[in-house]
Amino acid sequence: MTIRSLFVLLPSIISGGLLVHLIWPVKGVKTILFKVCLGIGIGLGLNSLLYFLYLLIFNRQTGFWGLQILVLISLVSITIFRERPYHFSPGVFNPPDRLQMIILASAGIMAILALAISITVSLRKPQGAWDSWMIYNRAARFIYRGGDHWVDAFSPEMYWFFHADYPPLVALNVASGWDAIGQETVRVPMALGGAFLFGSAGLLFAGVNAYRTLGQASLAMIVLFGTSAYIEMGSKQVADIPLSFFILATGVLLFLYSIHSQRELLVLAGLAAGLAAWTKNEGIQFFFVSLVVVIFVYRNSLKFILPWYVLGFAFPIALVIYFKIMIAPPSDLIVDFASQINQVFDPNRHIELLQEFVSNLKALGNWALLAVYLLIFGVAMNKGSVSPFLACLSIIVLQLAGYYSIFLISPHPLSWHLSALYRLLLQVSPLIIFLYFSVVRSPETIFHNK
Amino acid sequence: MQSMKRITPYLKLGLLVLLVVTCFRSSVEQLSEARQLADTDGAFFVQWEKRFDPIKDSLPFKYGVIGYVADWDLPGVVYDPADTEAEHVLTQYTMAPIVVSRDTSHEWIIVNLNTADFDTWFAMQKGEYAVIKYKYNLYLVHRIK
Repeated sequence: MTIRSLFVLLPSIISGGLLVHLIWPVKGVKTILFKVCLGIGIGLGLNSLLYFLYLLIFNRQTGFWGLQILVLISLVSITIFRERPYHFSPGVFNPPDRLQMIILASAGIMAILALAISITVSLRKPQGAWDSWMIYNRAARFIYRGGDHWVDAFSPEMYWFFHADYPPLVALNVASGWDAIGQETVRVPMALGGAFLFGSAGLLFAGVNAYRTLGQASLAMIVLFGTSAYIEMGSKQVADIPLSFFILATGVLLFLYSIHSQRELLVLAGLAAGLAAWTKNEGIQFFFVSLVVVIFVYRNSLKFILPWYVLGFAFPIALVIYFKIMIAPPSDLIVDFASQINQVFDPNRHIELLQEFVSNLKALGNWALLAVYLLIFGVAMNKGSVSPFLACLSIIVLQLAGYYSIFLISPHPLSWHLSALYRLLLQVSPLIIFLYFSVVRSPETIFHNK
Repeated sequence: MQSMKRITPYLKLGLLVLLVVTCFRSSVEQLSEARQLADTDGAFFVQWEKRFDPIKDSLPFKYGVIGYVADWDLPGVVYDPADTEAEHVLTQYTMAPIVVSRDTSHEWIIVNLNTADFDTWFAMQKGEYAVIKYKYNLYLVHRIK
């Protein structure tokens, strides 16, 4: 069942990789790895959008597996047709030196450890975390079992803590996996959680490798796997890890756009931001954050940039808008807006929030060691302008500010609501690690100060 | 200055090793913690499914909305909100694709109360009802009029 559960995700993942390649046909060893990792999230995200459309149009589950295969065959055919005239040239490949080999091997050991942790957690918590089965797997059950009543998954009669208003990327992928296998099994959400967990790590590795060095990319992955709870949460099937994937993807793609000025990267960044909005409510906040960042950071060339970014997010955002207006019940976060706004003026609330933010951020990583490391190694921002760093930093700061604002006006008891803060911080942690390792000098510079 | 330049690469190397070792230690600790997790969920979910199977069989429909009554619907009853909430969540998860609403005005209602509390709640209801009692303090109430 485990193997079958992994296999049912493969058509979407391969389709995602091929689509990324068709949109951004740049070749080379570094970009192949990046496209493969990016394809995991893009493929699964688009699979859920297609399944949603399929349910809306045909109002039934059966047969979607055939559509997935048809999409895959079409994308393979288009790719072969387009690539046939060209000979593959991987570009210049520099074999890793001894230091790089050692760090890469360490990253490999960390990846094996991460896999062991992930499998152990998955086997001991097969239903995942509380939120996973209460929100996402519950919705998946409604969709899979519900037949033409699948839309009841988002019924306004559902009590608010089921969060029936959450965008359904995870639930739809789980339900389409069950449909393909022909039965409900916890292995599908497990495999989905693993795909996004290791996809995020791979994307971080590939993103840092694309801009910096192999040693630096390996270190970034080591630090991500060393971040407490990231692997655990990913293995417990929460949607925060898929969301972290899309936040990282948007940040890295905007970063790479700032360096290479290839408009295809903007389309992919817009698509990733749109899929973030399709994953979770905080993803909708992230979508607006990314839009503000694009408008602010690239304000001098906005006329050129914005249309490509809009092209990327148009499809997922259109379905998010449809879902929110036509299907989802109202959010639990707005009850009595006037009194909620008054909470902004409560200094005790700010103090409690700041204390919690500081303590949770502290727990996210070994900041003291990373700060000393940065001080001793120094900064390397010599490639391109400041805009790639500004884009990533603005995304992180504005996203954190968004979380803060939501907690500030939350109608729920603050101490209870803040229990989710650590998971929210995990959503931005891969992008923080990406930015850190894009700024700090590479380990390759230890003995020759390049 | 010269000696500082000579030391710096080794300081950097030391920091690099420290960073990798710290992350490695964190991962080993995570693995150790993961191995200590108890697999209590699986049996619990199976048990809960078994509790509600007879109720599902009694309902004349497979989809729709039913009400749910628990301790929180009885004025003056002292209860553990976390436990009561957890039971509602588990009930909803088990009963899917039927929506288990906290609105008790529906024709069919699942009541999750002990016998004494059920009698108290039932005495407060107006109208005509059919009641089926199940194990584990579960009742299915059908509003006839």
